Amino acid sequence: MNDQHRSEGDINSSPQRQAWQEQNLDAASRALLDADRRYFLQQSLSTPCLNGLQHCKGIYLEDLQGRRYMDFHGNNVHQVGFANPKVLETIKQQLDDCSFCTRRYTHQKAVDLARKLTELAPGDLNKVLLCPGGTGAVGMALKLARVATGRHKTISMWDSFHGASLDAVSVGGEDVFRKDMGPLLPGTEHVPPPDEYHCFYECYERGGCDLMCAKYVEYILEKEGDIAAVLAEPVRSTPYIPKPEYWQRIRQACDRHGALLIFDEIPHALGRTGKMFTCENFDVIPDMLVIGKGLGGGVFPLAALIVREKLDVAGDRALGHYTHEKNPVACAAGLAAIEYIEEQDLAQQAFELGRHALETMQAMMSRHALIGDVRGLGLLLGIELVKDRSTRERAVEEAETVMYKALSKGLSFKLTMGSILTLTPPLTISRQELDQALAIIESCISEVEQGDRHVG
Amino acid sequence: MSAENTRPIWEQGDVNLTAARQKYWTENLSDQIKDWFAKDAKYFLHQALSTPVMTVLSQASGAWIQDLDGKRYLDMHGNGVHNAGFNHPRVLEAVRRQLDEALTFCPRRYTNIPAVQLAEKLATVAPGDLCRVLFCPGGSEAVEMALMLARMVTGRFKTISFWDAYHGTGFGAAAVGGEEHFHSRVGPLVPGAFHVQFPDYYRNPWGFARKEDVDAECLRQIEQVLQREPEMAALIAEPVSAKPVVPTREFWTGVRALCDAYGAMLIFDEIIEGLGRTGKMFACEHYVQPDILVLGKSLGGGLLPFAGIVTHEKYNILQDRSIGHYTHEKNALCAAAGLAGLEVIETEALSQRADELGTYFFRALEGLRDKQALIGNVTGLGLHLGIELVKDRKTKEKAVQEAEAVMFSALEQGLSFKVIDGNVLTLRPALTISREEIDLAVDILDRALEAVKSED
Ligand SMILES: Cc1ncc(COP(=O)(O)O)c(C=O)c1O
Ligand SMILES: Cc1ncc(COP(=O)(O)O)c(C=O)c1O
Repeated sequence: MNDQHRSEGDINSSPQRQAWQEQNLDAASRALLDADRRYFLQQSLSTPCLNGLQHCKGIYLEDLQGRRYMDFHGNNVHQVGFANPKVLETIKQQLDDCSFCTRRYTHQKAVDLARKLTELAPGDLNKVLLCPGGTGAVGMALKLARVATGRHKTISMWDSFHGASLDAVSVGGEDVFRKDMGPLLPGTEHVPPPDEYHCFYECYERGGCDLMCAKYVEYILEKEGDIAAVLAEPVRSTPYIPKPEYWQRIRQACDRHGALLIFDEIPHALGRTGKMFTCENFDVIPDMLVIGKGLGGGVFPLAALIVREKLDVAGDRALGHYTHEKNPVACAAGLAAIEYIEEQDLAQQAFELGRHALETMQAMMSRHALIGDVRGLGLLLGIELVKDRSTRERAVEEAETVMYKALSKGLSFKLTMGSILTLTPPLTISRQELDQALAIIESCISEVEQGDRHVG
Repeated sequence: MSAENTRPIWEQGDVNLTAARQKYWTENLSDQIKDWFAKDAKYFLHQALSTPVMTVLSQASGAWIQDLDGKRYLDMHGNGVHNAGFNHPRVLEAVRRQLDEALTFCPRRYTNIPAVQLAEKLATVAPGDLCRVLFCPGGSEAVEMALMLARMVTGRFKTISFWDAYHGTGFGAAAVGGEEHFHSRVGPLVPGAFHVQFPDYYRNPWGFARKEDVDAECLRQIEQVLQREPEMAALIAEPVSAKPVVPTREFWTGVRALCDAYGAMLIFDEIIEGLGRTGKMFACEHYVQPDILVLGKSLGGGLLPFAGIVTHEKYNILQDRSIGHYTHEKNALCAAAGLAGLEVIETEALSQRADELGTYFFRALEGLRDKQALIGNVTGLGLHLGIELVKDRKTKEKAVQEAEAVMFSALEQGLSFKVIDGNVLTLRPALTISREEIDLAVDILDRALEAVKSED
């Protein structure tokens, strides 16, 4: 299997997965997986699935055999934990009150949510549009950028993911979605993402990041002259955490060349990075902010496009014409999740726990040669495994083995780029639970370093 | 606004920028509604088909919606989610039960029983050997999945679809759609989308009165494209158009044969028409079997966003790819709502009800046509009906202002429906509607037509 396929996540056809399943699944779990496999179209990142679940509650997944796993992935919907009682209670109340609103009408909850988002979002990000999925919200942003600028070209990043539709795949940079798909949207330029550890421009040979990657974006903006928008995740899930100057420089270049800056914060907005919005870590305000995932309270599909006041220029068009644009239950769930994040001060919690986790991971790195790099911003954390620290060669098989070992010890997380343990716990996690999870990872790494490849 | 320069923007629905709409707002919005209405306009991006909205809702239940002042409207639009009626007690109960189970969201590398059950159910009820399912939150994304699957299966990318069709808002779905509203001012869409005319037996540019002639012309257009562009990936259409035009069986048999001859896949978008609306579980059962069936809207039980595709076993070929990679692919709450909605449709025999009441409604509308000269044509299948208003039955000149006036008059009398193409009143009530409610709708339409006639 080509390693490029692994940028979005661990794939479901590895020998380690098979071994894990053979040792851990009972007949009932297998029967469910077989049924899943029988009825769903198979794809490299979902069906055939890893396991079946019967509950997702708090920070835990529980499988059909009653085993619980701390979930450090959660598809990033679980800022407030799964089945958050406040969110569930709000949903039940809203079901009693009004369960759907057709889109030519509005509903108080939709308006309340829109107002809340504009209050929270920095600067004059004051206008909102809702839809169920993040992919749709990215599409709405691209459409608005075209209407507002009268241009159509974009700059986005290799290895990025912005959704699975033809438009989102066009701006995304992963071959598992793009390869053999035929012609996509025209005018989508791609650049290497900022990644000091594996810098495409080899800045590590020159003593670290010298913003060559930002300069290349500036270069394209200038050469093309008619770029509608730069679209990127301010921090990749991987995580790649650029310097603030990276975004500041691109922000200025966008302004100079009349391009809009769109941040896709679908997985990380609403507290994960230690701030309500990721962009606040960089002192940069985009023209459009796309959020989703956790916005639905970890229950509902819900996403939002939040844009600057001056971009309210498509009153005679349809940017998003989504059936669930004003779903009151979804909006109530979103409001409850945001209130919970505020009441519990989860952004601050993410900041503090994130710092603590990073320190722990740094200490782990000093003990384990397999760890090439550790990174984090709030509770968006990554441990990169390498075969050799000097060549930085990705330790793909080792990472996969660590992942399945951890699963057997009650911890679930995802791999990105094949070799990065990507850790995004619910923000409601306690320090003790976090320590416990990191200890599990360390023990799995130790085992692998000692040549123990057993994943049961 | 003159009829000429606004014509195209009516295709998908009545727009919110007209003088009649202004007048309705001035005369009908209470202070309390105005307040929320103004906030909606302040916080949401404006679009021609949503914000500024019609009014503010407080409830949706059965075949009815209710505004903030407690005024009730029999809803003949419902965005198509209400096949089982809004807020159906059994769907609500299933959703509540699922919330109590603490299994709502399920990360997509795992599976769960409700998701598999819904897939199994669809595989069972879908016609022929359509048995492989993939889910996502919205219909628009499901259309994209169908297009991407067709690309993968055929190794081609071009499509044929129909002018005036709506298939969703993403750039891929918008490209196969045939509406100015979603095409112009947004720059290049996904390439390779060819468009032809959908049959219209009442109004066609050739002046044909016989269905065979219309069918022959439309088939000729398709074949003409296929002869010049034989590498066609798919033809995508609603089996019955939104207007609705109900094509003959011969038309779809002809299309099916052309698709087979050229190796193009046939995709039916039954997001509106599936799940009972046309008097059969799936609209294609009136015609031919597609290669991919796209479902949505009522698949979420009228509460949750949920959509998906159902296809043949032989197209299960994407093991190392991802065409649908949506966060909520395996959302157990959405699946539980969809399953309950399907059970309601089955146990309450709603397809059969749509067939019987559709015939009853259709006859009543034909009776109205005999009385009201404004009605040029009555069409439809099951509870998917439309009446076309004309200034003159001979010239068939569209009665655009009259249609809008009828819509607002009906709204004032408690009947809500959507106008498409400028002059077609589309009537798609909940399939749970009663005979008495249909009588009420017909009475209101009668009075509204009478009032508009005397205004002229
Ligand atoms: C950065 C980013 N953008 C967009 C999306 C797409 O969101 P959705 O799955 O809700 O369509 C995702 C989901 O994984 C994401 O991580
Ligand atoms: C025929 C058809 N296809 C696709 C869609 C898009 O569905 P959604 O709004 O769920 O994205 C719609 C919705 O109006 C539709 O009517």
